[in-house]
Amino acid sequence: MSAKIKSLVRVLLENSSDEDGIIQKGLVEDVLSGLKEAKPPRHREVLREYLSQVGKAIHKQKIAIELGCSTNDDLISSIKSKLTQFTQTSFDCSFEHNENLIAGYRIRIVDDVYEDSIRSRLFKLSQSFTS
Amino acid sequence: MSSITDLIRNEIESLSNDATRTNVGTISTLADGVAKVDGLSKVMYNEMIEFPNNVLGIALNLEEDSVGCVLLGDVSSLKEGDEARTTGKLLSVPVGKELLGRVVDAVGRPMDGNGAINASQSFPVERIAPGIIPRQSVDQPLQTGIMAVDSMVPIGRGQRELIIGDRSTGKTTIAIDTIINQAKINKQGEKSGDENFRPVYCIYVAVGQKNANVARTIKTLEDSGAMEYVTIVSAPAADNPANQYLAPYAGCAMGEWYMENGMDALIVYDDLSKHAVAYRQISLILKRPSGREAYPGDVFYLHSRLLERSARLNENSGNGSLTALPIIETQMGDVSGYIPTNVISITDGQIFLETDLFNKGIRPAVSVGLSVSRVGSAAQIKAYKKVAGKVKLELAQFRELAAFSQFESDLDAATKASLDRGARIVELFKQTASNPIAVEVQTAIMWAMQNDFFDSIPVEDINRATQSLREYMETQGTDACELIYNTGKLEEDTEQKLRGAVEDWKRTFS
Repeated sequence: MSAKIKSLVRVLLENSSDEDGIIQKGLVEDVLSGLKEAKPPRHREVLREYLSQVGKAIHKQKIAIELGCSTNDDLISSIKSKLTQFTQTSFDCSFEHNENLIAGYRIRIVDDVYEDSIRSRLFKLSQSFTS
Repeated sequence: MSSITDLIRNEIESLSNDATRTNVGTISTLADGVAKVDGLSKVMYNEMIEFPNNVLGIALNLEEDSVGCVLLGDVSSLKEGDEARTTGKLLSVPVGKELLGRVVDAVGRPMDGNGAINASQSFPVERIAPGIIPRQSVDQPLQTGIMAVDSMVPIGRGQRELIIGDRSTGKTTIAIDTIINQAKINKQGEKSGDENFRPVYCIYVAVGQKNANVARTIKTLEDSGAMEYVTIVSAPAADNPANQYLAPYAGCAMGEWYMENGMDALIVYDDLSKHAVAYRQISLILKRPSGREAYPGDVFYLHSRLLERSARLNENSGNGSLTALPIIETQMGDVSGYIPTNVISITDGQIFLETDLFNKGIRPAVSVGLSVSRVGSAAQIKAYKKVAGKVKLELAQFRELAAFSQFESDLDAATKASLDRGARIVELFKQTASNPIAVEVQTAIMWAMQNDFFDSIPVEDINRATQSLREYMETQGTDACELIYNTGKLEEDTEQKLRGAVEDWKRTFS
């Protein structure tokens, strides 16, 4: 991957994000139509790199929440408000019921995972016996 | 029964109930024991990374948004998209005397089927070498038991002496014989009950070797009773390159434990050429820029940081030592290759083994001209220095004269004498494998040579005569040998006893 393509994709990524740095669908559409018109050299490679970078950016803006219990609206809104307080930024949250946790939660913010569940406690216990 | 349940209850109560925070990433590519992981933004260099199914990796390449990891263990269970997590720990291996007599892999796991290793301590595989202040110069000998080496290229405790040569020239044999000799000396020292005796513990690191060769080495060490002082770290050719890359560092960490606890250790790296090849493989997969012979730019640092960890520490730092015998395989006797020149410049000398000498039956095939020990002569015992001081020069002159004399029909008396003496020294130095000679016996043999006792024996009988004198000194000439062993000097009364013993032997030898 050439440095030129990387720097071009960096600019495209900036143009695809709003003031808060969140990727917006409308802006991505604008960028794609602009690229179609301009037809930069190695168009396909640029698009592939753009796809990879947008994917990573979207992944970074997502908070994946797994709960050991079934979810309901009250629980979701309460968790969302707590997370907004904690991160000070707006995030796209996804909720999932994970039976393997038994009880508790597992929250993934970018590449940090916070977990307090029966599964993690049992794992800690087994580690303390074997180490 | 209640005490058992209490034990578990206490363990549960002592556990923190706080949420755990881990840094994770996902595998984006996986090839030849190397994984590229997206994420892991908080990973440290050389940190252990945990992959699914208990596979461990080490973070080697920290890039802007991905991390290159070498994988240790079975990678067949991993796939793209699997989660990897940081552990906050650097790779460590068990250290201590519990490892003696054991065969372990690159991460210190037992491979010999003799059960778990109950080592109480562990050392990180990558450590900073001792600095200038805790070091002292090499002044204690490390006897190899090989006359050609101990007399011409002596090795001291804490020295790094390279063993270099083409394939099948006896490089490993020299290293193994040295280990066997340490075990022999250790047993002798322990038997004597001398409180000041310092045993030398050995670590043999096999990198990229055939499993059959490693098995043969283990058998040789077991048969000679040396295994109880040896730890073998094995990363055979069938092992993944990450393990081959790590094995020398793991072995070094095990050796450092002895050094830092005021003991002496010897480590053999067999061999660093294959180690460099394994590192080249990893580096190319990690897409690091390649340089000469496709090796990465830091291949010098790869070996310098390893060999610099061998040192002789001063009294304030415990007086321990770690002696290194790295092995390098050359191609067609070319010592000017990239890796050979690197390692030659790092070490304190080299023992160069020549294919031609080996094929002529001169074994060990030590090349006098190309072998050197930069610090070891300071560590030779005085008695041995006295009798072996001139031998290297005499042998070098012999090789030179022998080459010229092929074109001469008439030789003057001095040249003839030099050739005669040289031919005898060559025969004297011939020694079979796994047959180390004690330093006091070596001194006696060298003394007999320097005092012309071998001059009347035909050259073709010199080897037989040496064997005979050795047996005589070990059985009947023990008085003189004990004096040399105890004093380390060759004083007048010792020489008189030695003369008496050698004259007695000469009368019986036919």
